[in-house]
Amino acid sequence: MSSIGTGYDLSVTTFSPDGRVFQVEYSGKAVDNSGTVVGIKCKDGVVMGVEKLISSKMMLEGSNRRIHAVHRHAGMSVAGLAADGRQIVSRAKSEAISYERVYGEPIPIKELADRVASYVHLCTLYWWLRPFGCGVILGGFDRDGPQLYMIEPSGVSYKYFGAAIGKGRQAAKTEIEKLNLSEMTCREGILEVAKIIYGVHDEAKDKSFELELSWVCEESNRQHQNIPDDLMEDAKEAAIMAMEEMDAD
Amino acid sequence: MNPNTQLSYALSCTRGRGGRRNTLKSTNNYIKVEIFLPLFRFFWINMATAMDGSSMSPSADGLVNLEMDSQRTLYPYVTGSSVLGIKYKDGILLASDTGGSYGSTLRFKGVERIKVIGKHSLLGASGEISDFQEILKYLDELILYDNMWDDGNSLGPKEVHNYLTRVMYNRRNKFDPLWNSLVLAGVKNGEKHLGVVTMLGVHYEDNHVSTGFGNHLAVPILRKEWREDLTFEEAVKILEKCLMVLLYRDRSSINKFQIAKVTEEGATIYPPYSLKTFWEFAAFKEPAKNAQGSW
Repeated sequence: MSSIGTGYDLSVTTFSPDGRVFQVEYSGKAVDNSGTVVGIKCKDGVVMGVEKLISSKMMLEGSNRRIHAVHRHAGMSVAGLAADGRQIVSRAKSEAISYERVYGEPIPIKELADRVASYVHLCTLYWWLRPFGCGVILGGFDRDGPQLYMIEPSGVSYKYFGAAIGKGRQAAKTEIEKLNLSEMTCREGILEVAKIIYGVHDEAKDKSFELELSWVCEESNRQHQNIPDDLMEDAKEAAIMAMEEMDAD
Repeated sequence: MNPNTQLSYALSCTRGRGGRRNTLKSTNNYIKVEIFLPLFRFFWINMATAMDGSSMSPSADGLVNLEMDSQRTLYPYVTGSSVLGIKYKDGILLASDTGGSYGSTLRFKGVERIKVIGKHSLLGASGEISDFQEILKYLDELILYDNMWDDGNSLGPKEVHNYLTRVMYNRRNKFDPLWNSLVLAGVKNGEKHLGVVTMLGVHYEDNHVSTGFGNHLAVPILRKEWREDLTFEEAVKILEKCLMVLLYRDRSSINKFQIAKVTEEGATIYPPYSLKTFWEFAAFKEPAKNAQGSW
């Protein structure tokens, strides 16, 4: 699948003869090898879910969070190198706060996505910096309603109805395309996201995982929050039932 | 007069600007001249410097601009009068009126001077309203950062009180105070906290507190009537008694009050309401009856 960029892949400031920057593509590989992250935009909000692969049984449940609040009205879920992700989240938090200090209103999600994308792109321009090895799904609720953006390590950012990054992104995208998102509420969206994540999780290759879900919707008062525990239980149950139905076929 | 003594004069005057005019009896000529005239003189100078657009830079720049006089807060402009606080059985009640005075003019009559902070606290302020709004902005950012940690913990009233003390004290040390007396009330994990931070950075806690004129008029009433385990209704009654006295005797108070409650469940600010006053005293009916000519 990947071509060997002999000689043209040593620095992020070198183009290959066919116009590719190999270092940026390689950083994308780091994202592709991480646990799946899914985000969908429903009628009344945005739901994001992460398949958090557990590397050690000693890890405490609920630690190593992959979904972070960036402001009251927006959240970010990270796929790829966790430490790089922390840096991006930290930058997004400070951009959001500085916008509010100057303009007195919560940062519009488009503006936040642009700023984060600029920052990620910055690190692909200089030989003494390496590109971020993580992709980010940014979901939030502003005056224009709920919005979902995805920012890749190359620094591109697009607005999506549904987005997925990580190991199981191909399968996840197929599942998302089947959903009727314009009619779905966030409550239903949570169950769907849980089903997708349980569905794409490869039992053979990775042992266990923890599901992280968050939403920003009318029901959560347009604030980003981890979904309430009871809804989390419902989602897991629905997902496990759907898996069993599939196995039964 | 150099700004240091200027500051202490301003602090000794109960209302920072204007002094006491229209006194029927001239009690102490020395005080009247010393407070009124210098403030009047400096009022003009200060208005002139403020008009040219030199802004009060945020505290980060304060160190660089220490030389320039116009960068210090010299006077409060729009001020709120007293705030009262009282602990009762389930939590804490705060009360204040909703007036914002511009010197001796009652310019704004719908100023909310008690706000909810985070999940557990209430903040009431007397003094310069714009400084109160700035403090609310700082606290908003503080609470936002606290929420974003998302670790199940949240800032309680003790922490917020301490943060405010640090802010107020450090600002006063730069001769650029936030001209407020703050009342911080809250309940967390069953523990009630009621405290005050002044513009000098003085801070203390008690079972009942008040700021501004309340210190002189309300505190004696609170000291006499406060008990452990007051019910909500009893506490409101005591507060209303204090508010009445302040309404009658404090020139900068108005007849529109807000009471706010904070308990373990959370904080509520009740809508504004007025108290019934009585002006039918015989002595008011014909005030000039026994007057002996002009004063």
